[in-house]
Amino acid sequence: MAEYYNIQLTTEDMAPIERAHLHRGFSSKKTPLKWIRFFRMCVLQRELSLKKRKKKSYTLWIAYFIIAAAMIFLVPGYWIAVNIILFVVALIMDARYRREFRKNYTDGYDFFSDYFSALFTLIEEELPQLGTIHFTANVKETLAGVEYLKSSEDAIFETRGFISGKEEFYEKEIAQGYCTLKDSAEVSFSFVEKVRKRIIKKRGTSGKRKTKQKYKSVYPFILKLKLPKSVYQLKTDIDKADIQMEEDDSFYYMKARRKFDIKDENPDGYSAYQYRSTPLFSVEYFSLEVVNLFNICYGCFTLK
Amino acid sequence: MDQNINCQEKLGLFLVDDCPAVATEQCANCNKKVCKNHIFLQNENGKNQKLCLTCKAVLDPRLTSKIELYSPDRPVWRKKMMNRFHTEYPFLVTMASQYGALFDTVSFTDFSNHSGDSSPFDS
Repeated sequence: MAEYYNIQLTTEDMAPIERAHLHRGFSSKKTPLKWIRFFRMCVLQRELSLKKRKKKSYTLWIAYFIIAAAMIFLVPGYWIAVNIILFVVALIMDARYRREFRKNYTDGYDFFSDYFSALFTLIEEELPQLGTIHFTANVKETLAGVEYLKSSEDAIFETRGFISGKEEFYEKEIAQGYCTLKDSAEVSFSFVEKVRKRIIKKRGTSGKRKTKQKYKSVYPFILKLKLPKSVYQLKTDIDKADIQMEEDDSFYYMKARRKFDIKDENPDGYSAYQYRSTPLFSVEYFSLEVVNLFNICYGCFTLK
Repeated sequence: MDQNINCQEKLGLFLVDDCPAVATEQCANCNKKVCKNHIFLQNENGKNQKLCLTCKAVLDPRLTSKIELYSPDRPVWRKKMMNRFHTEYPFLVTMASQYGALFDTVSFTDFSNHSGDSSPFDS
């Protein structure tokens, strides 16, 4: 039991992917339990690194204050000039520590850790023994670059003092994966972040020009199931409102979609766009809603 | 414990199977015979009781958010969530006729002091 809790965050214990930084994304095939361990190690890695970064910054500033105080006595004539130079040097070094940390780690670790640990735990027993999930993820910030910009267009808003407006739509696949269940059904899923950014230029009541930026994020989760006709037969009275379905000689192909909307579904917790807005969804709410997509698909069939 | 008796717990939410392992323990609450993977300790009134997973998920007062997933308690979390799914969502019963009851009913015995709880799920 002890080995569960005491994960040793040592290089020797970690597989190469676990030493990789999540900001580059990752792609691997693991059993659900190993994925849960992996997510946990990523979070630990980030926490450890953040602790080290803070310690370095703390030491740097303490050293600065000690040296700055000493300069008053050592070079009484120039201590202000020397202290300004030292302050700038300390500022640059601190910025470098922070930049180095941001380069290696980004927000989103806890997102993967909590949400996908929960989801994989829930579907763990639907997989065959030692069945694996192939999972690919990308936790770069959706708004970070033009690569995720899908469209940009001018827009008119009925805002008082409106001068001009623009809407930008960003889209990024946060995660996608596939696995085979113990009934030989093949599952693939993808989780996408869509962000709408509105830039509104307007004149305030005092006549001053203002630029406002508004953000809205939605997270569609798409589940696709490929069910063997040798095992399942389609019910006659199915409700196709929530699903798309196709079939060939051997398989049924089901597609179900659940769009998570942080503003509509969690209005109290919602604030303007945050890079870590996904934690506003309850982990349990997310995982149950996603599992319900399986429910919707399987609900269309009876066993042969 | 008779070596020929298989564990009486079930595996899975949609694709339900009987646990294939051999039963080695007995639940102190429902007397179900279960394997070593489906037996859990529950501290009630200062004494440890051995419970099957089904009983443990109902009688364990912890919130699901307080259960560590990377731990041997992961099946308890899953069972609690399955119970919750069963209660909150129009649950699939397609395979019930083939596999029998998807969820076992827990009968409470005296050592539980949670009789005042109104809900089987916790968060």
